[in-house]
Order: sequence, then structure tokens, then C-alpha cells
Amino acid sequence: MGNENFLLPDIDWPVLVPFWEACRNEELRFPRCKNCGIWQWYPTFICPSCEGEFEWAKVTPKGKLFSWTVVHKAFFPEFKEKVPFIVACIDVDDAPGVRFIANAIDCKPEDLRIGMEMDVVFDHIDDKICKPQFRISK
Amino acid sequence: MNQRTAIVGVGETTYSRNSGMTSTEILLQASYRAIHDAGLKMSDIDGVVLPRIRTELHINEFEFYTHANLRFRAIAGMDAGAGVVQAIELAQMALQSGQANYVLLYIGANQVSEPEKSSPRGIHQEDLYKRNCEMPFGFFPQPVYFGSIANRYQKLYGSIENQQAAIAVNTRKHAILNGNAQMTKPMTVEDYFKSPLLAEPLRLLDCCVMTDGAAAMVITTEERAKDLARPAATILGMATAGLNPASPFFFTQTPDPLTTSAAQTAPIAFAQAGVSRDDIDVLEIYDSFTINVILQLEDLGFCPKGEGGRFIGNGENISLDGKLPLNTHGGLLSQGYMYGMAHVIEAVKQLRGEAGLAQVKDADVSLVSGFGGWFQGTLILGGK
Repeated sequence: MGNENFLLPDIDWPVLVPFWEACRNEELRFPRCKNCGIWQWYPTFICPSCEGEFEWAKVTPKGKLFSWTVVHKAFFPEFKEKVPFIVACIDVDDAPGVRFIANAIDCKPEDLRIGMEMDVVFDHIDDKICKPQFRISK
Repeated sequence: MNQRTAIVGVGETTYSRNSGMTSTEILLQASYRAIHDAGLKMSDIDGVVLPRIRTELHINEFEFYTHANLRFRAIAGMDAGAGVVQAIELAQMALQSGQANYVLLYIGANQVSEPEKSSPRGIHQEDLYKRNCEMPFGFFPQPVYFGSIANRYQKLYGSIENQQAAIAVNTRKHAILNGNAQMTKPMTVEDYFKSPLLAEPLRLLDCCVMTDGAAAMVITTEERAKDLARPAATILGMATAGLNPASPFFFTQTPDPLTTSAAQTAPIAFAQAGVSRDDIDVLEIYDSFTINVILQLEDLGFCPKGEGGRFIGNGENISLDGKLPLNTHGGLLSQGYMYGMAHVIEAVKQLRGEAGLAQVKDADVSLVSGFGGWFQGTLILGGK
């Protein structure tokens, strides 16, 4: 793990390849059971409810703010340039049970309220990596 | 009915930032101290339970087991403080079934001088879900998880900043009295508010320290305990559970991160013990972060959800002469991060009347709440 940049996901990790591919196309997709329809996050191989298989289903990129924190300390060297930043989690509107983490941008911490509607927007880091971010819905 | 069991020996190394010893040496030192405290020899030990799955990865077990006569060996699968309570459950099962007569538990690591091997942060860093779903957004390490939890708590129930300060200050006072604590500089509420914000609303002084050190204990049946050197701390009630065991490390992926599994285990442990909340003389709660104390205090049933802050107040209830003296050894916050084992050891010492300057008068019943990931264990001990 020595020289890894923790700001960047490993987009080749098999479990999340479809997720990062979708982000690259500015889509948000999460695993939904083909058989019983439940959503599962983080991904598992087998549906915990019916033992069925999952497919990566597209959702409207919106959700309700569950919580957040303003991080002041750079716990890794690569975060030195970023602090302070807001990391938040939202409950995705279309996918009950999916609570999803990303950074909230273009807002001040005092603007945030639990339950407020957030949009997921996409930040193309380079040709391959695109990270989702949250912005307060207009 | 199964015979009751008791903690009959406890041992600790010095808690510091640099032990100057190998992991094997500190674990041996704590273990021999616990065995001698009980008035036993290593050759009497016929069972071992490791409260932490990783302990065995970085010690020389040959050194350890050469002089014991092991018939039973187990490793607790739960994490941190929950693993400590689960290890005691496993020891009790072995004793009650006759698979062992004297069970040794040991835990410890050089968390500061060998962090990659043993620190909680190092372990979380290896998890690929965390590496890919959390770390790229800076949701890492533990202060960030608990900052997010504390923020939600404050937004739902109101500010608890003054109460977090009261916990930190109270715990430091106790650490100073303990004699084996890493943090011994007196702390005021003002010092707390001057300490830097790490992940809002958590400040540096809301967070536990990291430690080089080890702790151990010996458990036997109540009957055998009568012949031993020290007064026994009898296990009156005990339970472990996980509200969301599928993802114990993923602190956002539990439906309600403001409720710990203490909500499940406390009713079971209290019923087994046949005691009420009012009977608890000493309370030892896994305090990796101040918010964590408030959550468990509520889930253990000492106050309703959302009222932990009111219960803490300015610290009157939780001080040594208060209604419910809390973390009388200095906790993870100020004594050292010993995974919750030092909480159990303190709960034993209080019942023996051996807690030194932090002794609570007439302590008869103590309670330990061991949190670990999203697992939790409740342990109720009784003295004479």
C-alpha cells in the first residue's frame, strides 16, 4: 500500500468496476436484486434476502442528507491540500437502504440540514476516474 | 444450573508510547502478572482465549505456550471492547463444560511503535470496501466516522459540546489518580475547547490515545476461586450482540448509527445478574470517543436516547463521588487504548478495594460496556 494515493479509488477492484464505469458516464448505479428487488450497499455477491443475483440498476442521482462532518485534520498527506472539507452521506431516494458517502461541495457547513435534498454531480479527475460529489439541490 | 465463574487474576504492563519491548515480551509480562496475581503458575493454565483476532499474528506463541498445559484455545471474533467481553464468554463456556479449569486472556500490542502491525487505523486501511467507498472521500479514519455520528446526534438532540468536555475532563482526573496512565497533565474545560477540531464536532481531546502495552486476566470457576490468592470478581451477567454484524466496520451502513448493540445486551445482562441500574456502583464504558460514551450510556438504560448529555451535565453524576462514577481508571481517552481490557481490570480492582486513589467507596457491583465496530458486550461483575 506504500505509495498509493488514497484520494483515488482503485477502479479495477472487481467488486466496484460497474459503479465506477457508471460514474464515468455520469450515471449513478447500485446493486439491485434481479429476483426480489432489494438494494444492497456495499455490494455483496449473493442477495441476503433471497439468495438471488444482483444487477447494477440506474437511479436518479438524488438523496437525503443523513449526516456529515467537516474534516480539519489531514489524516493522510494527500489530504493536506483539501482540508477543511465536508464528507457526507445521503440516503439515495430511489434505492431504499443505500447510504452513500461522498464530499459535499459548493456549500458552507452551516447551510446543511439533516434530511435536505442533495444532488449527486460528477467530477472527472482524469479519463478513467470520475468521483461523485454532493451539492445542495436547487 | 451452570456454575458461576470469576475473574481471579489481573495483570498489566506500563502503558506508554514506546514499550521498548517486543509484542511477545509485553504480552508475556502482562500474562505472568495476571497469573501470579491469582496465586497460580503458568503450568496451571489449561485454556487461553485471545480477545482479538490479530493478537496471534505478531507474537511468538511457542514462547507463550511452552510452560502452559493447554487443553483449550479460542479467539474471539468480535472486535475491540466487544471482543474482550466475548473472550470472557468463551472462557466461561470452556470452564462450565469442563474443557478448562484456569483460562488466561491476554491482549496488547505496540500500537505506537509498531503502528502498521497493530493500530486500529492500520487494520481499517486494509479493508477494500473502505479503501474504495470511503477513503477517496476522506471518510477515514475513526475520528471522521465518529465526527459524523456526533454531528447527527447534535443535530437531532441539541449540542453536547459541554458534555463531551465534561467527559474528557472527568476521565483525565481519573487517569491522574491511576498511576499507570499515558495522559497525566491536568485538563480544564478551557483546555478542551482550545484543542484542535479534527472532524466536527470532535476535537483532539474527544479522541482516545494510542498505546504500547498489554493486559491480561485469569478466569476460573467460582468454586476454584475460593482457594486462590485474591478476592474474586464474580461474573453476574454477560451478553454480546451485533445490531448489524454484516458490516461491523462500516459506520455509515448501519440503519441507526446512534444506537449501539448495548440496547440488546444490557437487558439480558441485567436480567442474568438480577441487579438494577441503581445497583451499579462503578461504570466502565469503552470510550474511544466522548460521543461513544454518551451513546452507550443511553443504550445501557441509564437514561433515555437523546438525554445522555443531560445525564452527563457538568460531570457531577460521573465523578468519583457522583451517582455513577465513570471510567475510574482514565479510560481509553487518558489512560491508554487497551481495547477495553483495562476497563474490565479496573472493574475488578474496584470490587477488590484495590483501585488506589480512585477507589469508589463500598463498590459491590461494576458494569463494563465493551464496544467494538458495531458489536457490543455488557459485563456485570459482583464482589463480596
